[in-house]
Amino acid sequence: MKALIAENVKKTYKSRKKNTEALKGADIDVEKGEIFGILGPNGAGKTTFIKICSTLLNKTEGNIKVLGYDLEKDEKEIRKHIGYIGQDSERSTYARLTGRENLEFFATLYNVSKIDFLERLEEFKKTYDNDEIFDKEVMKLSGGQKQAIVVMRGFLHNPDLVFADEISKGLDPIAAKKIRKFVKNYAKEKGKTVIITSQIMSEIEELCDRVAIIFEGKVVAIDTPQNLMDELNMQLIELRLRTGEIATPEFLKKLVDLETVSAIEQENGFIKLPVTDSTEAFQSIMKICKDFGLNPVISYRTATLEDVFLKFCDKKVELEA
Amino acid sequence: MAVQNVGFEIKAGFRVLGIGIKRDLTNIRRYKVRLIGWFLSMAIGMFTGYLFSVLFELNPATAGETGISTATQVFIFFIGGVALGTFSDSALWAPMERINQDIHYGTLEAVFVTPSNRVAYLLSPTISDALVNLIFFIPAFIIIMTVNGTLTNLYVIGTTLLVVLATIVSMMAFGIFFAMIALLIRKSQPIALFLSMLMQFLCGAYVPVQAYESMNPVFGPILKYIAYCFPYTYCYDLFRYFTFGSQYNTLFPVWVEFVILGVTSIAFVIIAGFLLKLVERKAKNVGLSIL
Ligand SMILES: Nc1ncnc2c1ncn2[C@@H]1O[C@H](COP(=O)(O)OP(=O)(O)OP(=O)(O)O)[C@@H](O)[C@H]1O
Ligand SMILES: [Mg+2]
Repeated sequence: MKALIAENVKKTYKSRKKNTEALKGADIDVEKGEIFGILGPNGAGKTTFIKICSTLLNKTEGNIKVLGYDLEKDEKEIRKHIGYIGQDSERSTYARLTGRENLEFFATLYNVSKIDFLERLEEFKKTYDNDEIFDKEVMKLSGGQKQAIVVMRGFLHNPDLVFADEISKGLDPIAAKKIRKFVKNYAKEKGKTVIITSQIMSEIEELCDRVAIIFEGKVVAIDTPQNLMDELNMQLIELRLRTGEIATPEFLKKLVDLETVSAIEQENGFIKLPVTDSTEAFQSIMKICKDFGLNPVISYRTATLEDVFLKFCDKKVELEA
Repeated sequence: MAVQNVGFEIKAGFRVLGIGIKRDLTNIRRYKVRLIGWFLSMAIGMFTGYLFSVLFELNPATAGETGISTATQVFIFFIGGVALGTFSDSALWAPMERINQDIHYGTLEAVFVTPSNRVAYLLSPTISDALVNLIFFIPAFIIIMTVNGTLTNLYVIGTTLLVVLATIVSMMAFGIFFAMIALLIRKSQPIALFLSMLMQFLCGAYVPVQAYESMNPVFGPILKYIAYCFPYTYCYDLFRYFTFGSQYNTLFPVWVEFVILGVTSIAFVIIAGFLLKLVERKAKNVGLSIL
């Protein structure tokens, strides 16, 4: 069974002044047990999509099944089985209650028994490894600590599917890593599904089995991160000139004239060369550098998720292509 | 199976109610300034009651309509109004303030994504407020009973407390009803302020509804009929009836007032439930944060 099937989802925010078409027919399906990432620039419609799937917003059009339940008919049943971590929700706990009291409050809203709650709390404590955030009033916690509480809130009732919008927002790298590990264990050990959005590409790459890229309300790509990166078929050699070294026009021309180099991009001391054959290119480039008496740092990399993101979501790049 | 489900839902609803009350009481315990404000408004109310009792003693018209005349009785009349009035006030404000705050901080989204019972969530602030109100109500009640000379009269104490209970129930219904209205029309603060004043003055907290007509032959009757529409009118009236006994002239026969109180409370609950659906639908179209 699929955890989520969304077909042709459209959403228009209506207001007197202006209607905003936030989703223009998005199709996304997520397998059970998958960690699924949703990528896209600001305003692409990620949050809108997540809110619709988690029963907080009405769609204008389309069909959605969450955990096999029809979104329209079985709203209440869906709510019992999903977790939700909203974007900008770090202040959405009760400020004068402690982290623990907040979690207990929401656990009760999910009708989690006291025993189960305590068990979950222990699990969270082990994950986060800092008991302070559970015992202090939330208003005395830092922004990232508040976010950590909010993230844990989404997992309180052992949901089969968790929507996490900007999961690691405001978290320091160590806390983010802990949360990532927690999410990974949650999905892989318990067979649960997690759908996340993030602007941190490395996070998505590390966590997600598959990703969808949403651009202007449409899904423009959906695949494993690896496949998406492979599809770009990109190999890049980067030269970083040392202080005092100057890239003369003759030098650049020599580089661009190489058969394997397809383009050149230069920006304060950095030279980017997309190549088709890296081994050959490497040697030729080294030689040219030597000829010009330059000794730059040369590095080689293949496409990253960021390149994929830019390809699909940067209008400028699209026009150039 | 279905019955079992209903039982399960009710139990879950009560848990939500309980944890909500716990949340509010913890809040109040950690934020005592609010209690001081509460205490002050109560004290000011009592003092005003005392002043009024001195002034109103001379009004024969009021005395004729209500059957109460002595300064002591008028004092009791006002203190009773103030004491019950705090309940109606918290009913009006508590759910609305909770909801406004929860929208502002995004908490409502986290609440609405759960399968929890919305009514239980909305009821908890009123009940918590009512509980805290008891700290102020009980001394006021003891003063009333002492001055009235009925501190040992179990019948009077029992019946007046019954009216208080009925008041709390009816005000909870009205509170939710009002919170929903406030959400739908947005400009909730001024409306609530207006209504809270209206309900205290109009429904007879300070001036007996019985006396409206003789006080002003044109507007008096109009105000009287408006007052009839609010359950609080009967709360105040019944409270006085049971304090003063049969010498107090109620607006309607006592049993009729109880029936009206019951019917209006149920009506408000039903309308509130309907409005809640409306609000949820609206929220789902535009997004909770900008309701
Ligand atoms: N409540 C609303 N009313 C009207 N328009 C809205 C509302 N919420 C979002 N929008 C619009 O819908 C579009 C999609 O917004 P959404 O929040 O889904 O984007 P997003 O992909 O989550 O962006 P971000 O990365 O910034 O979080 C945007 O153009 C936004 O302006
Ligand atoms: Mg967003």
